[in-house]
This record gives sequence, structure tokens and C-alpha cells, in this order.
Amino acid sequence: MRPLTEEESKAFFEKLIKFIGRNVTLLIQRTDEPYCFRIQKNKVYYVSEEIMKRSQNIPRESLTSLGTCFGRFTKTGKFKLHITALDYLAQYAKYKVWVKPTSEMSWMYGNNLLKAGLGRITEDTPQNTGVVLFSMNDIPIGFGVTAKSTFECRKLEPTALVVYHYGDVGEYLRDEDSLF
Amino acid sequence: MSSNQAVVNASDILAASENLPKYLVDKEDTLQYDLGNLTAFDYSSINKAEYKENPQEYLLKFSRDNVQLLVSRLFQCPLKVIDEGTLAILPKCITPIPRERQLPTDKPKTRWEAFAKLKGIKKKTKSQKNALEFDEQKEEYVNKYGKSRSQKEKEENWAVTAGPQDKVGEDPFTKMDEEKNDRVQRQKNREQRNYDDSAIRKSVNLGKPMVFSKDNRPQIKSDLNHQFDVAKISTASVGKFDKQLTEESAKPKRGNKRLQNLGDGNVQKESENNIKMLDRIFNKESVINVEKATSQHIKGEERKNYIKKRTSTKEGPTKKHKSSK
Repeated sequence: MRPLTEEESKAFFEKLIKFIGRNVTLLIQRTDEPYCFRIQKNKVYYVSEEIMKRSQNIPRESLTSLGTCFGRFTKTGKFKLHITALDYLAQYAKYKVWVKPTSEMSWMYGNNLLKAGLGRITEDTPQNTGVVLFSMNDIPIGFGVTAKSTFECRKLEPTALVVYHYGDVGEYLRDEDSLF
Repeated sequence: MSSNQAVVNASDILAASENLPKYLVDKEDTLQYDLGNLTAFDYSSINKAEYKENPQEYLLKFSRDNVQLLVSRLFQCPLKVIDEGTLAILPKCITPIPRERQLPTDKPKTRWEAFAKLKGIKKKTKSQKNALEFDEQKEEYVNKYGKSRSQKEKEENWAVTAGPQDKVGEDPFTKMDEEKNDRVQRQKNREQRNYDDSAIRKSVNLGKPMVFSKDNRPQIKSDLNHQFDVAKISTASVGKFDKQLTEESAKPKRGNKRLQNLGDGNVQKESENNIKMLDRIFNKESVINVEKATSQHIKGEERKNYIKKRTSTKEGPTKKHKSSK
């Protein structure tokens, strides 16, 4: 377990900013308790200072997980978000998409979202930005990247792709062993 | 899987033996709790007769009861409800957890550092030392020591006042130079001495006879491997053109590169740095190096003027030439 290096934190924050914009500062400067980001075996964790200090007693090889896993770094240095970060992403999301109940299951099996499944979308969502997906009764079910902006979405045919799949809550079952 | 079985077993035993509600334990609560660490310690002795009858079952029941006590104690903690569910607020930990790593040792001190500590001399910052002084002749601030100071001294000491202790035939300027050289040489000697001391400290175990006991074997093995690796890259080609042995790993292992600038574990400072980085990312579009931009602009302007001038001067004489014709 160690803090992130400069390049790592840059890659990490740039990815987070895609989804939650300036709200990233709220994750770093919390009013209740100091929190920090730590990296352990390629995975980035969001932990309170107290837990971080305690886990320093545990050798690196034996430490499996701590705090909330936000994602992992690939061998080429890119950052990939994990679904476990959804709680925080949903809380601070800049752009949201609501999915119709009929396409919820399809999304949760890892498919992209089609225009037919699009219930609502935040106004002025640009193309190629991160969005958090909600079911119609406001339960977060995943996140993705928009294929079309809000404006373009209106004119699309129902079979066109709207949101590329990035992560969904189905991963809790599918990738349980590599997730945390 | 095995834990699953154990749970089933314990509940079976309970159902068979008692008619109490499942969350109650027919036992005196003599546990010592440390709820902060989610632990409880049972210091009471075991019932030897029951233990001998069926050790496995007895221990399972025993620990099941204790875990039940711990869990019911946990449920008595003050609760806090958040969106994801209900949390119990745990008290502070009582049991101290030992440190995993060794306590860090102090860096060995140089002679001056040891002396300064003895005398209570503290290192001054540059501002505390008043490193700048005003030069009235030049009308600017100059360093009292360090950069370009020796140049200034040479300029100032163009004349030396004669004193009664001066000997005839002795050049005061060469004397000054010699004194200075002497001081420099003495400092060099001190540095060398510190360097030698640290080298000796590092090689304390050098020259001592090796102990080939069984306990020492892993140490000797890793030492030999290390020495072998060092020898492999100690040739003129850094081991590139050397003949490889049959079962030799291709390249000697070197130590991992240490990551830099990870901070000292101060979370507040770390988050400040993160915020600075975020600001940089957010302001990326508006970041303009003003100096560079202005200098580029000025250079471009100058170039334009230069081209204009050249073309006009070229045209000038031709016009004149024409007019002369």
C-alpha cells in the first residue's frame, strides 16, 4: 500500500473528472473525516486516514483489500474504474441517464444502451463523456460513456447506440473474485 | 466451504441441546471486549471433563457461544442510519496492534552534526543568516557568501593596508591566496574524513570470518548471489559481451527502482497536493506561459520589421538606380 505517484494521480483524476467533474475536490476535502487514495497491487482504494494507518501494520503481500476500491491501473498505466466506485460516482455525477425498466436487465448483463432503453437524460450532455446510469426509480445501476450528445439523441432511431457500457452492477456477480 | 459446514454444525448442536432463543447464551458473560477491533477475549479456563469427551464439539460450542455474546454486544452499540443501511458506531480500540516494521534508525551523523548537536547549534535558514548585503558602490544587493562572492572580494582587495607586522619582501596578495587555499584544503580533508568514516561503517562486517551455520545459510546465499551479480556487470562492457554459463540467468538482477515523491504519509499535505493538481487539470485550457507568449510575439514583430526593412532597402537602391538611369 502506498500513495499514488504524480503520473498515477494524474491519470486517475482525469478519469474521475470525466464522470464527476469538479466534484472530485469534495472527495479529497471531506468535512467529516480525512480520506485519502492508496494504491495496493495495482488497485486504487479510497480509505479514511484511520483505516489507512491501521492497515500499515499489515505487510503488502498479505493485504487483500481496504476501504472502497475505485479501480485498477493496467500494465500500460491506464486507469480503469471498477463498479465498486459507483456509490461515489452516483452521488456526485455530473451527467445522468435514466434507463427504462425493459432495458435494465440488458444493461446489467454488460450490453451497451440503445436509444429504445433511454428513459431520461441530463440536458446538455456532450458526446463522449462519462455518465452514471440510474433505473427509473433512481437506483444507480452502472456507468458508461455517451455515444451521442443529448441534442443528437432526439433524432436517433430506436436501435442506435446511446451509451457505451463501462461498468454495471451485474459485475458484482460476474467478476466477484477480481473486483475488490 | 469448511466455514459453511462449521456454521451448520454449531446451529444443529444448539437446536438439539437447548430450547432457548438463538440469540441467548446460557453462559456467564466473562469476556473482555474490544469492540473497536471487533474482538473479545475469553480468559476463563475450559471444562476439562467436557473437553475430553468430545474436543471438537466442545470447542465449536464454546466458540459459538462466545461469538454470539460478541455479536449481541455489537448490537447494543449506538446506531447510525445511512442510505446504504444501518451502522453500529464502535468505541475506540483498546488492544494495541504491534508495528509490522522495525523502528527506523537514525542516520549516522557526520562529525560536524554530532558537534553541533552537542553544542546546541541549529542550522540557520538563508533568511536567518542575512545572506544578502547592500553594496553601496554597486548600488545593489550582493551575497555575503557563496555565489560570486569570491569575485567581489578580489575586486575589493585591490589594495592592502600595510601594518607594522608585515615583513619586507613578502607579497600580501600571495599570502592571502595561500591562506584561502589552506582553508579550502582543510575543508576537503574534513569531507574526505566523513566519507571514509561512512565507508567504514558500511563495511563493518567485511574481513570478519564467515559463519557457516545453518541459521546463516539464507543470508550467505543471498550475499553470494548479490556478489555474483555485481561481478557479472563489473566488466568493461557491463556484462554485455561476456560468455554466459549454461544455467545462468541472462541478466543480473538489480534492485527495484524506488518511487519518488510519495510524501511522508501526511494525509492533509497529500490532499493539498491533490487539490493543486486538480486545479492544474481544470485550468489546463487557460494555462498560458505569459513570458513565452510575449517573447514569441515580440520576436515575430521584430522579424516582420526586419523583413520589411530588407525588402524596402532592396527596393530602395533599385529605384534609385532606375531614377539615375
